[in-house]
Amino acid sequence: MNELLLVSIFFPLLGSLALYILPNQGVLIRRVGIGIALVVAVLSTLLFIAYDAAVSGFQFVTDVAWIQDWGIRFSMGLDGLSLVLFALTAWLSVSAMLIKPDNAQDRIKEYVASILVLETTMLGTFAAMDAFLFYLFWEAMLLPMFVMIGVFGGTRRIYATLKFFLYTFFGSILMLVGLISIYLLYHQQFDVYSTSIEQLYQIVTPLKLQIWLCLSFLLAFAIKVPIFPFHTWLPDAHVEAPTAGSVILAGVLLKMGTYGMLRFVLPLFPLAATVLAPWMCGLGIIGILYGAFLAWGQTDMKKMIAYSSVSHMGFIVLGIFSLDHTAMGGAVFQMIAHGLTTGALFLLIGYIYQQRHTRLLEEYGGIAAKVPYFTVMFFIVLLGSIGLPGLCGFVGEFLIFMGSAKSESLAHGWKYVALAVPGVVLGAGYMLKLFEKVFLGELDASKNGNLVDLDRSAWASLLIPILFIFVLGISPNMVLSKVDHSIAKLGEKVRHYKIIRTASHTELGD
Amino acid sequence: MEKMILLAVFLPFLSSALIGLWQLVCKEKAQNVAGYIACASILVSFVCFAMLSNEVWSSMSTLRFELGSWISLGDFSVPAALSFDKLSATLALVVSGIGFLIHVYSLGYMSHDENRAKYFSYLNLFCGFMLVLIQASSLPLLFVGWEGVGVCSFLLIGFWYTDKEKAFAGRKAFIVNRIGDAALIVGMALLYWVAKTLDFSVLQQADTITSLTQLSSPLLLECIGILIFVGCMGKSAQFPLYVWLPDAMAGPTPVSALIHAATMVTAGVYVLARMSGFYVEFAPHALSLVAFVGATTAFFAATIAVFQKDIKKVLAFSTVSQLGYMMLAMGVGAFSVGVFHLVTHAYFKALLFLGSGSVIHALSGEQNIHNMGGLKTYIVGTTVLFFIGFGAIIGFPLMSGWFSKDLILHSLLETGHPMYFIVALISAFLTTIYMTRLCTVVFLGTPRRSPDQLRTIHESPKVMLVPMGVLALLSIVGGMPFLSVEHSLANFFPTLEVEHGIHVNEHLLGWSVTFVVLILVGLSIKVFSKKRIMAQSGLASFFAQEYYINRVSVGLGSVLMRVGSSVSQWFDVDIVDRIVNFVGRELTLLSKMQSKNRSGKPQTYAAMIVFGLLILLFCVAGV
Amino acid sequence: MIVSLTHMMTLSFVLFLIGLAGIFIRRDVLTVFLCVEIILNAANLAFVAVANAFGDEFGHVAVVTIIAIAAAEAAIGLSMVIKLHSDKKSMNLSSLNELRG
Repeated sequence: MNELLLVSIFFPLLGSLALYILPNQGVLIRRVGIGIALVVAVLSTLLFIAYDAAVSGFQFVTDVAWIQDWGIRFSMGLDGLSLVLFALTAWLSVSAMLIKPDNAQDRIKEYVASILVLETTMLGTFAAMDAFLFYLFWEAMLLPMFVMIGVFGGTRRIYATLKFFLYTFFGSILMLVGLISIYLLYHQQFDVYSTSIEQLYQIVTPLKLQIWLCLSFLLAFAIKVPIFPFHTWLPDAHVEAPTAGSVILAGVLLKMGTYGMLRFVLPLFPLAATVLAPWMCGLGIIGILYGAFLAWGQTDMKKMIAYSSVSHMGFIVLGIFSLDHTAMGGAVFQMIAHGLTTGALFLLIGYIYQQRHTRLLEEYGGIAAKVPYFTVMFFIVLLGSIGLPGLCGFVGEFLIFMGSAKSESLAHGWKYVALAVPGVVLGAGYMLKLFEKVFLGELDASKNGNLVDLDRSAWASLLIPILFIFVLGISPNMVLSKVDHSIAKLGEKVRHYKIIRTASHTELGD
Repeated sequence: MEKMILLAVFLPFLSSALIGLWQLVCKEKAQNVAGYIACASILVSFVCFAMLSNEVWSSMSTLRFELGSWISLGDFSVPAALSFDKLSATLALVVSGIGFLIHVYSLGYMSHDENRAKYFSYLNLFCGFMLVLIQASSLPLLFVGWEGVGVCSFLLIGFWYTDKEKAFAGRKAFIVNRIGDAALIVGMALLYWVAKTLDFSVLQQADTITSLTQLSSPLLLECIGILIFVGCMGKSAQFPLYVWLPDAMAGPTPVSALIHAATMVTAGVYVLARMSGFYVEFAPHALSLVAFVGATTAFFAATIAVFQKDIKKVLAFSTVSQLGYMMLAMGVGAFSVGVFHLVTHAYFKALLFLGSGSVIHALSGEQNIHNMGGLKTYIVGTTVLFFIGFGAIIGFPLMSGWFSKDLILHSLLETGHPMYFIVALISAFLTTIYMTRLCTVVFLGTPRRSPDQLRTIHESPKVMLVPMGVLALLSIVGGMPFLSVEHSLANFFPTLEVEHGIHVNEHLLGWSVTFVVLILVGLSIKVFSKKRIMAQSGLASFFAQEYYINRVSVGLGSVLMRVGSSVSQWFDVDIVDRIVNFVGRELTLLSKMQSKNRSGKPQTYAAMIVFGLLILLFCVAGV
Repeated sequence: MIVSLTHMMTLSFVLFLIGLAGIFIRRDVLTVFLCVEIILNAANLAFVAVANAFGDEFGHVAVVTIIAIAAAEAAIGLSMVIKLHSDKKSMNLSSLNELRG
């Protein structure tokens, strides 16, 4: 099993190298790409099934010495949190691979290779148990995404990709400073060098330093999530990215930020996290409402969904920084749900964009009569996205609300819930507006008379997201049971310090 | 026995999915058979419920069917459990029974529509969600049904989606409901926080109650009560969240009968009944708010109904008003009476809506009552059935509405609310006036249609008349003591403490009200048959425009959204993004300045290196 | 006369200055290249002298490494010089300047 993890991470990378010896035939290259992604997805499913939910801590661990003098080890493994995101990544990559590329007909090899490399880096980021390795994959992820947007993107792709790259890179550099500080702190306290994430958890940092270090990490993650006011790269990147890029960007890349918060911020800086929690929750709520208002006002469908991501990611931030077990579990679930629904929405929008080459709302109207399957699928995904109970979007939101209200770390958690809950109304508002403008009303035959309903590859790419929108809504325990213990473990220290802090307020100051 | 609950609840889902998929795959073939499948599934589930009701009716027992855990994380868990007791039995019978009748009626009503398979699929889906709502054992599961029926309502209101206004009406309904739902979510979150459970049966256990009384502040519990009620206000169309219901009439008329009169809109009343233990114990002030909102709704909606021109709009405001009645009963603690009125209202309002559907069907889509008149000679069957519904709603002696309405009036006095009694009484009189007006203008007098149009009027087919007949029968006898659910439910609910009860003779009150009502009917017939068209005075249009509540709230909503989105758009583009790009540009400028020194001459570089080296050496030597 | 560490370090420093001066003064690519080699050898000399004086082998190791790298560098550098000469028909450094800073 341990080898299986490594295989599934590095198989796409090796595959992308192998692509170069293949003849330059679009269909063949795409098929090989789909095949590789599918193999990885199946492997990830095997790992998902084999993961023992009763045991907390990492499983399928591979741990070998790498750069010994610096205490850097090549160690990879999955815990519940990374497991579910790992599986999401693998399956969304299949969906992304199945999309017909719009701008890449003559450079299909590069296109497929960049998706494959992207997959390896994403999977590696989730599976890394070593901070150095994590950072390596985290930064490496930018490069294929840079290519995806910058080479295969729309008209303003250079602007968008530079903005995306520089913005996220800026945050990452600060995180590197934080990482090195922690690395040195660990040496100071334990007299050995180590970059193992689990060992770094053991350091004790005075509050003031903790807050500074915490902020350096948080900035990197906040840009990635993105949390208001660091979100402006997102709509530009989404609008210019090709469909596959948008799917992966919204589905997986945004989760890196919230994943990092759970993996690093809470266990490394428990005190700082409790101090900063109200601020982060506040930013989350601003993101929810602000993103929703922005989404409502958009005329470009992709931009609308991009801003809706800002809104939905706000819920996740609120869930994480409620520092409550239920809310954190809800946040993880919402990460998966958002990945599925938003991924599927981008797939669908990409599909009609390919036919009409416009994403403006006013160009459409009444297409429900013309493309019934497409409409039904869109409606299901939309309902999943606005959190209809019985579909996946509800469970995460619901758990976040329940958990935040009862949170012991937030004073008056219910006030945060009350402020965040209009986001649910606004969410329905902009999504149904989109649906009404595009699908309902009179069909303009001259514009949309030639639209074609879902074809085979579109069905194939939609199958998994749609299926899991249902399955996870009806039986969310599938995911929740896997993450339960891991979340408890990540939140353990926060709760522990919360108790100490309330017991003696001054002791832990500098 | 418990497994039967599962069957009865999931059969509609199953058939909905089946029809839905089938009509997608082969559109033509599915159209004719779909209706029968849909009817059969609802019938089976009705029979199941009848058998199950037999089980729980005689005792206070609760059947519970647990499918395992739905959501479970740490100590938070929501079991997927259905429970079936007297209250759910009552509602389940109403939903599946009336649901079946309306399915049958739809066979006739929708027979010309080319998308009728889709329609039946939605209708079945609605019944399924409604049954989940009724039988959920906990609030989150109830919320599943709650939102599910909302979506079905959205789909059915916008069923003829090519009409932009109808599509918008669907969206409006969904969003106004969502406002209530948001409050309900906060209410649930708070309730879970203080009570550590959302399960109805656990909430009523003694130790939960004691721990709640000891640990929580009364204000917080009242807040929870109010928040949950706001959710109910959305679904049950109470002022000011009623604005979606009149527009919801855009859907096919059987939908208005089933969803927007008989079942879905009463879900709020059901939730209050379900949570009655909580309200009585912890949130008596929230209950007073319920009563106040209910009374306001009952009165104002009735005044609006008097001035409507559209036959369905009259009935829609009548529904809002009657829902206010139910809420009023709930608010004063007369829970069993409220549920009783819910049931009888379901009978006669469904009948009236189906009757109006039959009229619209006969006139090929005409909805303006001023273009009708004198229809009694053309569509006799419909006229008779409609008048039975009319009798029931105004409280004609010994018909169902008579029993339930008098019980509400009586309980208002018994519980010591003379003010509410007066409001309810006036609303009852207003009900008489607008219903009489409706019947007079539509069925009596001289026809106002051209002879050509009159020739095309046709009575509805039997498949539509028979369900109406059954409903008419129920409207007549549904309130009789042997069919009344009030007595058997009376001991199901907790009782609210009454401070200053006013005791009057029930029969005396009932008959005197009836006397006034009958006089009013006579007067109204005279007035309305004379005056063909209501004077369009300022006051009348003020009423007809719903006191401008609809316009103002919709305008306010859209202004809020527009301002919100344009302010955030401005802020995003002109401030946040500008700062980001400014930083980026400034950094580029800095690097441009630096690049001036990069001449490309190796000698310059070497000089720089040496210079740097010297500084370094100087530093080292200096130390 | 005993050649002391001071003598050798002085020689090394003089060589270094000669190389440096050559880089600054000459415009000819080949000469600049030669001067770089002189600087390298100045460093080599310093390494050997210090290693000899303190009996530390590391200096010798470093010298061998530097010679090896310098050889490789010379190979690449000379081939570049030839390429430049054939392209630009000139060995003047300033004629190669293409940066527009």
